[in-house]
Amino acid sequence: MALKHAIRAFTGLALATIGTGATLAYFEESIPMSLNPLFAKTMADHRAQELIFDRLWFHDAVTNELRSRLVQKYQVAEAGRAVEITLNTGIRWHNGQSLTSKDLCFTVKAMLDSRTPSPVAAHYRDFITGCDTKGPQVALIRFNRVLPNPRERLMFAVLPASEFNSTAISPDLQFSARPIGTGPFNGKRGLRDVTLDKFDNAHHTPKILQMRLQEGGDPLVQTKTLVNNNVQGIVVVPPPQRPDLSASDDVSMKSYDLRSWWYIAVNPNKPALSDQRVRQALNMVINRNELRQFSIGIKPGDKNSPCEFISGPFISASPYYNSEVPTQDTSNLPKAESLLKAAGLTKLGSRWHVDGQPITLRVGMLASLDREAPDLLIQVANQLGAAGFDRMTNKISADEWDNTVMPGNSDFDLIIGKWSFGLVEEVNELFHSSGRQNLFRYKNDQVDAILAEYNDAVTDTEQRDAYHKLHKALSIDLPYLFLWKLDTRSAWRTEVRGNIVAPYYYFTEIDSWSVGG
Amino acid sequence: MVAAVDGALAADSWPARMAHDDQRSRFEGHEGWRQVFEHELGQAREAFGAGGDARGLARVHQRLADLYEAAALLTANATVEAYLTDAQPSDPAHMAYFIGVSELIRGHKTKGIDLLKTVDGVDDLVRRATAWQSVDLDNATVNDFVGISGPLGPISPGTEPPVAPLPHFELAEQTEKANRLGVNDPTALLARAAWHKAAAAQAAPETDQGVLRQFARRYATRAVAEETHPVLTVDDAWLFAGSTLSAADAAFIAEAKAGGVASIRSWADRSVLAASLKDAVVDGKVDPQRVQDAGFALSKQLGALMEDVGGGVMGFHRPFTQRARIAVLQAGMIAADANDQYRDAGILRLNALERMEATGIDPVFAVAVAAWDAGNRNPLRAEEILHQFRSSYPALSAAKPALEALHLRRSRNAGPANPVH
Repeated sequence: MALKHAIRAFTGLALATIGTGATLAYFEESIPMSLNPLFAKTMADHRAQELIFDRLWFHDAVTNELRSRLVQKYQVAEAGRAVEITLNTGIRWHNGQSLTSKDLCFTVKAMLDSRTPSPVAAHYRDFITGCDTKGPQVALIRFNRVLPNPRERLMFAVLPASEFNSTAISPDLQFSARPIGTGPFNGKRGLRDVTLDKFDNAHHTPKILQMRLQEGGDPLVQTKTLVNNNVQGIVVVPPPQRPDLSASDDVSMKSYDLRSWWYIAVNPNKPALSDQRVRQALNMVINRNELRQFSIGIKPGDKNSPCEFISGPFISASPYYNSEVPTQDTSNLPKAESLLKAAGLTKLGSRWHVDGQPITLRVGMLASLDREAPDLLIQVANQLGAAGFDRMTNKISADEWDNTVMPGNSDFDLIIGKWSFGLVEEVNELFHSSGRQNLFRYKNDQVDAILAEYNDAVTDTEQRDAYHKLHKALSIDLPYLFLWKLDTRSAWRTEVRGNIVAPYYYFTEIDSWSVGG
Repeated sequence: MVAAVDGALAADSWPARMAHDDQRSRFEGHEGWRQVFEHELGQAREAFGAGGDARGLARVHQRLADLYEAAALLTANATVEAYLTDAQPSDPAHMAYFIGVSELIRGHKTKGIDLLKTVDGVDDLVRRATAWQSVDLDNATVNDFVGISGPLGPISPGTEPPVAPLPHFELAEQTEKANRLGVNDPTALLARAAWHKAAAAQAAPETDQGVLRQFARRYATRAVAEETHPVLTVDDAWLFAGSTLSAADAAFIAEAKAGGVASIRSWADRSVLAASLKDAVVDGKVDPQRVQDAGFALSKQLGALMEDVGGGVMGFHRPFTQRARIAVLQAGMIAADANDQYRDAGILRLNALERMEATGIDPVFAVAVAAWDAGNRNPLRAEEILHQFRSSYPALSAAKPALEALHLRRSRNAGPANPVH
């Protein structure tokens, strides 16, 4: 009954908001946390921002050709340590003002401003040193070294100088909810949705009048709502829902090239978990085959499985994946027990104790992941319980994740999460002792040394070899219990035409999308 | 419903004809056909190798030839992009051989030969480079290739030649550490492709040699000449479960490979695929959205036809009609490619691959997509495809190092990116 009510509620909401054939509503994994590209932290952020802003350069979603909608021409300058960029004329911001070189240089300066707490900008500071305007449409971006192909590196979104008082940009400005871009849509974030209105421009002629991004709820409800044409798309379809949607003539499944892997991060600062042997024991306790089957619906041996186990922080197809490190597919409780005993834990009755106290593990999971892997949190807790650990479970809201977990201030013992990557699969920020995304402030000198080796590598093969070493080291020390990679698939109604899905950024080619009859 | 194509053309397609139990039973009685349907070419080869269907065996060998030729192109594209376009001063000396062979495979004969002439320093590479300079790639035989990359054993239909240990060469990077870099010679993949091609010719009845040549045009990796093709007598063994829906389609595709849109016009009253695509040509161009609509329309028309034959919807109808839908996308892709519509062909290519996820992914088509991706300097999808099929076709592993090198180099030069949750 609850499900029926939920479907009816969603249906009503959607019918109320979908008026014309040129309007498109879709379910996202979550409401974007920020529409300011400097503060993208989730894939939902990146995807929504792609509708509102233009990146300086981007890759064509089909041919991978390097293109720009903003740049009329460019030339390498200062013997390769700078690039002179001439912007197209006639491009307007959503506030009506014209795009000029001032905006481009403002964006660069905002990224270089150490008072802008942007994880995105931090990386640009590694090689950009400044930007000077040379005329209304001409800017010179300088680097600290010769870059072989600077366009490949300059893929940041351009911001409007007129909307900020300073180059010190804060994430909590109104701009994060009501941004001004040059992209095909003018977006506004509400509490429960994001409304995106078409904005015709010299370089964009979107065919869709309005897009409405809603947070997806129960996957089954999302599916029914899509089938009933009350929304037109679902960005992330969990594996159990895929066969039904594939069998429908009204819906097309779309591939979405995104490299995502799932993990259970272990808090090594907790007394019981500080011993490597305990983390190794937990790795033996987890029965990934069962987790995958009960949560994602994939049985061992299923052909063309979208979910494949991993033993380190890369997907198996990646050149960085060390295939010599085996995956732990099933549990090995006797081995786990012997490791726990060796670590000084004692089993009283059926429960594990440390220093005479029963161990209670606080296990958290980002709430939105429960849609893609339903009940994963409960399944993990059940396996820990069956192995002799008391446990408490929490679904972590997006806000708590952003404010507590990401800065490394959470008190959980274990956190279930997912990381997504594009072409660049760098994991240094996750595992370096000073990494900006090191969830539990994990510190291991050997790992730090390997990451330094990666950074100092002269050749790409040396980088790869460093990551192979990292993979092996992490599989022993286990700051994460690595679970699996899970392919992402979207579903769009067949009325949505020309819907090319770009790798990673998704909506790069939105101008070609339309909603037909 | 409105018919997508003339009813007689639709009725002549294999999905429509196989709606009849008596026509389908031939394919239900042999394990090899089950494996063909499941896109398991290795297991199909083994099953047919045990006897019972010479044409089935020939078809599987031909598909394996296409698979390894596509893998050779994948290696070649990745090698050129990684070691020529993105060349580094630290690259090992002697890469000229691998780039030279790759350029030949990509159809750049002069560039390739010029590079091969510069090869020196490693005896085996010099020998290979010299041998390559006298190979006419378009008419080369298995002996030409194995003379370069090493023996594969006698041609024996039903078997698979053993895979040589990898990497083929280990060359030192020109750095202080002088790390060893594994590099593979794409000639080995060409040799394997030629071996399977010869096995197909040996297994096929003499009467079907023309059919083999006509079908080989679909996956030809280098430019093919414009030719006219007759409608041959094509046994259902060449059609069942595949992307060629009728005998006339085989001739149409063979022509469209070079003729593009003109071939659609000239075959629209004989080939069901050409007929489907007729209205998808607008102002001399293939319209990808219309091709997708045409594929859907044909699948519905075939579904209705099959329902009439069977007296209702049966479980096998949808898998059959979905293959027809994909066949239209692939035919549109071939015509668009020949019509210099590179991006439009790409849209159809990716759409066809996407559609295969519901019906089973054809490894030959997937590896061809991977080769195309590598040519576009996009290693990610290609890596996933290679990873998916390497365990079933171990020889494909030869393509891995070059693709990895492309990824590593592009990643190193890419803009910054954080892990995102």
